[in-house]
Amino acid sequence: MSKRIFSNHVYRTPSVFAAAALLVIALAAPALAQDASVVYLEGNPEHRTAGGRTNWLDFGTTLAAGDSVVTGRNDFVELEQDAAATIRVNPSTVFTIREVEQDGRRRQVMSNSTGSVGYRFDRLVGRDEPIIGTSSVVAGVRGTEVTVYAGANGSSLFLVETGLVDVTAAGETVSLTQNEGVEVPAGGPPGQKFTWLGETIDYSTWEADQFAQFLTDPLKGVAGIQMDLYELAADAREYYGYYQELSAQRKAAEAKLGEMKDQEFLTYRGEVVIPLQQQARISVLNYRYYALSALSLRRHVLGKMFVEMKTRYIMDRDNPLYRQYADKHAEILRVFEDQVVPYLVTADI
Amino acid sequence: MKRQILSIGTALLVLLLAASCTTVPVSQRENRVEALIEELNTAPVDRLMELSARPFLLDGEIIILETDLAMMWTNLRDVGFTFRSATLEDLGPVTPTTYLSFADTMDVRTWFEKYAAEDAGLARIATSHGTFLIITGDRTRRLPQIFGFTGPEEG
Repeated sequence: MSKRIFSNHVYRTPSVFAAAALLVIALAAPALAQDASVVYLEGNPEHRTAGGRTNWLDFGTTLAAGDSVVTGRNDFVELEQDAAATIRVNPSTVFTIREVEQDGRRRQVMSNSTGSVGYRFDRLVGRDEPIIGTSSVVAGVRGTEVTVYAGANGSSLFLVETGLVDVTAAGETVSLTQNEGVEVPAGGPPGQKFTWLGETIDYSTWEADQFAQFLTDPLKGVAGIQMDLYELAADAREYYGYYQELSAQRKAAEAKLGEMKDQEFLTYRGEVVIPLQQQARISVLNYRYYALSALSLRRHVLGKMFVEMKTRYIMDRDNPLYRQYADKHAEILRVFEDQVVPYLVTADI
Repeated sequence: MKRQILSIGTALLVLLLAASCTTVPVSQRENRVEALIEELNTAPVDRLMELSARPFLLDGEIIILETDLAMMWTNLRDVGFTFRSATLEDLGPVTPTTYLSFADTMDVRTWFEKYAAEDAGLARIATSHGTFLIITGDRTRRLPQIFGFTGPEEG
């Protein structure tokens, strides 16, 4: 396998990543390989650690890779990464920091699987671009101010305040400049870009519109999520195969190293074995990234859709629409269990 | 001598009663669970939120967000659903295999391991809308909290 996650801005080929979108913003930008610290908060937001613990978030709390912030209806959190980035986590949002491997290095990916998050990145020459997005949409960001909304129906909305943004999804690209935005439906390409006059778009209003669309045709809505989730599952499987391949190469190289001596030993270890060990170790990040993205999609989008349908039809369960929906939901969960769960651990739940 | 034996017997009885009160948690006491169900049937959504633990389990889905949990209760109220005419058929502790009654998935199995209360109880209730399983645990004042439910049972 030659594919690398996020390498050379070819995040996925359209055939592989038909459901996802990506943003590439053509300006210099800061790296976000640092932890994020809480500088301001309102209410009682939660801090879910990579180890699976849940604590109350507090001023000065540091978020590392794998950690999440969960905000309630009246909560708000502002995070800072050194002086390079400010992240605003709005109410009813799940914001997560993860890591991926790109060209042998770790890169942070910051995403919200539901709710809305505002980012402001200051320009720092010579640093990695940050990567942001939602569960199924990935965005490379460079020196910009952007807000990302993740809808309950799996759609995403990107609003750019400053900077240049190329949004690509399902093989189609839309370029955004200052005060422009675009919506990306679940499983589809970006829609028409629109002018955004800088006034705040109320997330709850947008979210309500998205959900109204879902309720007009729930089967279509769940089909979009199914497409995204299956793509994420396929990518997790693919990168797991890559990890296994690297692990096999590493083991073979280590065995060969055992038969060597002196200078040959040192050269082979430095040039072959150690790089393979590093690659194998870091390649875990990629299949875990896709598996965790699938889990977020399942939990915060598919799960919410199910709760909505179940509670609306709890006294009309024989309704043909509900039966079809419940069958489709069960089918997706079976695939999730078979194809995603093998890459998860209990701490993820 | 007779009076002494009577005193000791009374003391033992009091101790036994006290011990039984402390060993059966609120979440597994019939009268408290019945009171919880009555509250779930009549209280406004804000009160239901106070009585609900998070992450909440609905069938095989884990609800993390406060807003999603509020949506669940609001929808149930809007369609007129309650655990009406509830009869408590069974009440006991959650067991290692209880998760199978909700969903045979890693998600649900892990939820029971990580998020169910240490004193978690499982109530089986028959209602005019079918039979439901309710997970109880902890307490808010005199009532246990609801941690999740599934149902109505099909068939």
